[in-house]
Amino acid sequence: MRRVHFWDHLILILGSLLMLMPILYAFMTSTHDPVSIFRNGMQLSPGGHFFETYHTILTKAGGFTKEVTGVTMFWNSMILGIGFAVGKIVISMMAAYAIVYFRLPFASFFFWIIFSSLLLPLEVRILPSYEIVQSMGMMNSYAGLIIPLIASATGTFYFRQFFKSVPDELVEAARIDGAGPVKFFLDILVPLSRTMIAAIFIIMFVYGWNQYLWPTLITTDESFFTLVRGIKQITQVYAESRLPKVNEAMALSILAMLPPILVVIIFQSWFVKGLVESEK
Amino acid sequence: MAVISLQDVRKVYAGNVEAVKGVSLTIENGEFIVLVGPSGCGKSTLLRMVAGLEEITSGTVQIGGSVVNKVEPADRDIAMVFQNYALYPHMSVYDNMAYGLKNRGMDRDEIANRVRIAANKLEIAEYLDRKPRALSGGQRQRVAMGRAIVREPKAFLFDEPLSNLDAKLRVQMRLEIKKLQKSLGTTSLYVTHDQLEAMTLADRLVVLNGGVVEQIGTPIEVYEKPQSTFVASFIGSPAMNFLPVTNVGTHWRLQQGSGLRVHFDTDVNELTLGVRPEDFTIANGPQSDEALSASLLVSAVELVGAESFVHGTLGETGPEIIVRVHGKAGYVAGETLALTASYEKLHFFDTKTGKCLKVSPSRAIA
Amino acid sequence: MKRVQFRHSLLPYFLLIPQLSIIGLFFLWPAGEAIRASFYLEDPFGFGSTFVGMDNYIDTMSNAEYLNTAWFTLIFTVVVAFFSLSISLLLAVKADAVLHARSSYRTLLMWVYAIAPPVAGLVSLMLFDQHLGPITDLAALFGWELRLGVNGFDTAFVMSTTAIWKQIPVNFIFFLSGLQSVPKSIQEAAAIDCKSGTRRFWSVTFPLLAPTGFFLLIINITYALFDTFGIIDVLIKSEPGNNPITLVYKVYNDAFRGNDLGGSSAQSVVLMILVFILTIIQFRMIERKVHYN
Repeated sequence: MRRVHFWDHLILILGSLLMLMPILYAFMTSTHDPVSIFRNGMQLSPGGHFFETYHTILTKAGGFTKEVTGVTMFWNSMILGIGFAVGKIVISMMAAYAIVYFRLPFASFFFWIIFSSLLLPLEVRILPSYEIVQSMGMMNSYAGLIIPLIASATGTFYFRQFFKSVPDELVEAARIDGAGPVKFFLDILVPLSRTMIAAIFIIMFVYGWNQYLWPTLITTDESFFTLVRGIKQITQVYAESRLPKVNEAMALSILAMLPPILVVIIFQSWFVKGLVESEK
Repeated sequence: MAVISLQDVRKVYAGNVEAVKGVSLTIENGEFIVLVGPSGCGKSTLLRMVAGLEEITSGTVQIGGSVVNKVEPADRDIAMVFQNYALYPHMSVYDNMAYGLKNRGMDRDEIANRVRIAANKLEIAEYLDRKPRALSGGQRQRVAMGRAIVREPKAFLFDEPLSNLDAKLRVQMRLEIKKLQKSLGTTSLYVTHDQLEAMTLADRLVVLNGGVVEQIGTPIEVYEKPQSTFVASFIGSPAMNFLPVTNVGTHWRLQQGSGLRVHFDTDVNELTLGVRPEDFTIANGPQSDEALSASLLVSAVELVGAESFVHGTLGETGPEIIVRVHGKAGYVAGETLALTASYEKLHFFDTKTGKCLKVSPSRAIA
Repeated sequence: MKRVQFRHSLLPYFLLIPQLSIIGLFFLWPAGEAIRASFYLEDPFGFGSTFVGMDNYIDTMSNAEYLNTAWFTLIFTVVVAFFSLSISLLLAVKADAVLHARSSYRTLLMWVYAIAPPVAGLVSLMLFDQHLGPITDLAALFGWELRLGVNGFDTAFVMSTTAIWKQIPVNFIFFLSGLQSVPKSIQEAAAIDCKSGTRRFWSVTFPLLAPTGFFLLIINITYALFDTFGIIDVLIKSEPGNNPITLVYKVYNDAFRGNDLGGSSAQSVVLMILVFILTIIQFRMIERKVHYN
């Protein structure tokens, strides 16, 4: 038994290193100065320029982007991540409540309309979506960034699934206790869904924060750039120049990945629950 | 407190499934009525129609003299105790009990007062701040009761409230529910599939089968004078023994040729004789002038403590029967015993309809 | 469907309005528009469009470049799904087997989920860089001169590696939770019936994991088709040139760079049909899973 476990641990440690090493390289490289990186390649040992590099990317405009600082992009990412998660949760909880708890004449019709939105990812209807948002004058706005992303019913499905698992007796008890539909929703169902809400919030926050294609199309004004959107600028500058600021590029990558990583690690049990439960 | 009365209440589900086929019943003020029957007999549906959780297809339900068919559950002034308790998991015990009162706009002090009194009565005062998940099954059951009591409703509706408890706790809670109901004097309708619960709790029993009332009566009436083979077999454990008897011209005969000294003036051709396991006497000799005499070939003896169940067949190959004997029975498998039963202990049912015969048999002179 | 539902005339519609209007405006309309546009030829100077029937589809399907892209997409999808599923299955089985530090391993193997695909792409771009990249140096030790962005095979290799790396956490989490939901009594019964651990895995555990595996297969195909967009865009520095790209990238590129609205729309519709089929399969499988449980 002992020997078997040794190999198990070895494989797991190798797996963990496989996950960690690329990011460790990125981080260590970000603490060196560009000239030494250019000369020696990416680094695995800490360099002395940590504060300098991160201070520059956070507060100074005019590196890869021309007008915005890392801090602005960070807040834009926050707005996108949180706005998307909150918007999606509120809207999908309302819709799921209507579908599960009400006798609707056209219930299955509404259900199929909502269901159909699961069929097609944004990527395959990207051009018409872009044109519609453009024609509505929603380019370079948070609304244009967030709302069209909500148009997929994944959240509605998670909550529908969860509401169906809530015992019928709770509604019955609440009805006998004199709670109407609004009261039942706010007093009983929303508090009952707390864990579910937290789990979905984490999944959706990460999803929103990590959006790339849509922000790339919708935001041309740099003041609306998110960190992940900013990556595109980096590659374009990188493609043109021969002595790129690799340290700053890596530092921006670290900045772009850090918040979602922290959220996922800190709220790990909720995150795993959300991911696994929601897909059932 | 109120009289609840049902007139020809029916429930037909989509797809023409008739769950309740016309039930009429009046529950008097302060009376404790138990609806009992096997699963799927419509007892829960009937209760839920009284609660307002299920639409009534036809017929009327009256609570306190007014028809409530279209009245919302909250406005019927009833309280319900659910099988899984249906406590709000995120609310404290206090809030669980207070929620219905708050929704009715009751004054905070009055709520606190009522919860306090109910909690003391149910001995859960020390748990008022806890969440339901921190309570044992028995305590949750008490909270569910408390939630019903604080409302001081016209009627209590119980939907198998004890079936999630272990056997010992069930007996204890059964007694408490009975005492509580008597002291509050609230009209109660209680659903169970457990005949023991039904017998011990009820002022009157309603035995349901297939959406139809088989019999209404006090527990002892139902036990002693079952109106059908269904009731006879459902109430009582071990169940009543059923023996087929046939008409042989002038008199009736048990199929195994044992002695049966009764006769009827009836046009029914096939009868079923019912005898409760405890109503047999094991005779000393083969001769007996009792109404029924037969021989029992013992196949097994079960000692269950204060009594024994003797299993066997009537004659060599006849129907299986169970005899209940006090104390430890010293019989062994393979032994043949002489059984008798007196005339008053015999029940006769029409084999075709299962109904108890309206005509009483008269004792035949041997 | 709940046993008891509220009867209320307007409230449910009020609750549905936000969801339905967003779906109508930003999903149904654009999807319909894509289908419509796939039958029209847009005038290059913006003077209206002409109905051309199936021409866009025929042009697209017979285009050698499109067929190359489709071929690459197929290989890319198979490679990504196969490797990321097998690596994560191995890791999940090992993580399920060890008694110590199981939750630490879980954390160490799943956090990469949170990294955005383009960010992973940028890190890869550096790691595989011709001058700076340590992995390029490593490859050189084996005599492989890795030239990302120059050699088509090398670029495809880097794309696949990055996509596999990024997808391992999701698969790992699902496999591990699938393994942990195998009832202990079944594992114990298997341990009594069969001495060899490897055989026990293939004959008992693996079949029980099959529903999770099928489900993940669909998820991985969808991932390789759509979610790898960011990785690809960054690795080719937004310049397709002679680089390998996937079908989704081509839809985007033809629409926004090539100004071929009809062709791009026709490609969209083809992808829509593909996703539609995948989703139906997925839902049927979930239904069946529910039945057997």
